Amino acid sequence: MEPEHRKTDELVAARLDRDAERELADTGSVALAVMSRMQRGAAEPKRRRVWLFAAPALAAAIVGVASLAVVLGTAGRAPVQTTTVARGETAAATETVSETGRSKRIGLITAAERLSAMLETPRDLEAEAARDTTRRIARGTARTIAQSLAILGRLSSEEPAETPPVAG
Amino acid sequence: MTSVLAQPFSLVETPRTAERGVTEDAALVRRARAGDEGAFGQLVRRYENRVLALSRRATRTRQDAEDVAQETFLRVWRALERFDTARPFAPWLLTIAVRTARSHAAREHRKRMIGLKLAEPAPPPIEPATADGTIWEEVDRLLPLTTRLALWLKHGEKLASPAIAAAIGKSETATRAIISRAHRTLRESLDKEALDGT
Repeated sequence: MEPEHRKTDELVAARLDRDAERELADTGSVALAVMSRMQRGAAEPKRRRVWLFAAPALAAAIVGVASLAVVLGTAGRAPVQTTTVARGETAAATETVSETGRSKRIGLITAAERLSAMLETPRDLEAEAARDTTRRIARGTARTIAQSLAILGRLSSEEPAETPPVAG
Repeated sequence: MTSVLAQPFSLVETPRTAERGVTEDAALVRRARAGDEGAFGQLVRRYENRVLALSRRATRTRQDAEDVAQETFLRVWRALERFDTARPFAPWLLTIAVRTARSHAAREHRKRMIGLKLAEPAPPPIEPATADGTIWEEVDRLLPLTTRLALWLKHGEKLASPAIAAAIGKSETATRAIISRAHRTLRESLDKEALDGT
């Protein structure tokens, strides 16, 4: 910085210091107003106000989501066809798979799955897919509600939001 | 009660008076925490001018500045449990004041942006704090909010760069640069006679 500018900056700083004293001499009636507001209860945490708005919204959201889940669940549930499998058929399938060299346990599971897939009608599969979708939506909604509650809880406990946590 | 009020507050504190002030502040805070609103009232009276002066940096009218100052003290009251009485009270209070002032400025900006003030007349010119005006009017007219607040914390509160940086939420380097740029802006906008004048 050039010497001339340095000197001017010092003048600026000195003037700022001097005029700050004059600004500080300006007295207000803040204390009276603050004490009055405190007595009126304006100093209460905003937590109550947050819940005042959040509680009805949360209740409406829960009711809405529950209704949606019921509707989806009912729509996705199709009549399930039951099929009786003869013992001999299951044994035959098990033996077939076991002959491929796999362990008996895996062979049994695979055989059961294959048999189940063979016996299931396309309608069964559609119904199961619809139920899966419903369950996924319900799980996602529950997660969203839990996250919303966590955020609201945090908002309430952090009141007031703009104050430093410790002295600086 | 009267002993605290009777003591004149000086901006230029010696280490001894500063230490005494810290102790007295801590005692008042402890009493206020115990529900003594009178003790909190003493704290407010001790610092109201300082908070009001800082609030003026973020507002256009004296009324708005008083509102910001009031809001600051109400926030302090609500957050008093979190204050560490082993530390000085003033920097903590001023940090809350800075954040309250910023919130106020942001709120005013949002109101203008969403057109709530369309029907209102243009914002009034900045009211001078004193009858004959000070250089701080130029500061309020020329510089952005964060710079005004940083400059006040330096010249009005005599805070060191680390404390200013903590209050405005910037790094020390950035804070020093902000203040340096502010000095340059004022130097360029004011002639030498204005700087020499009172």
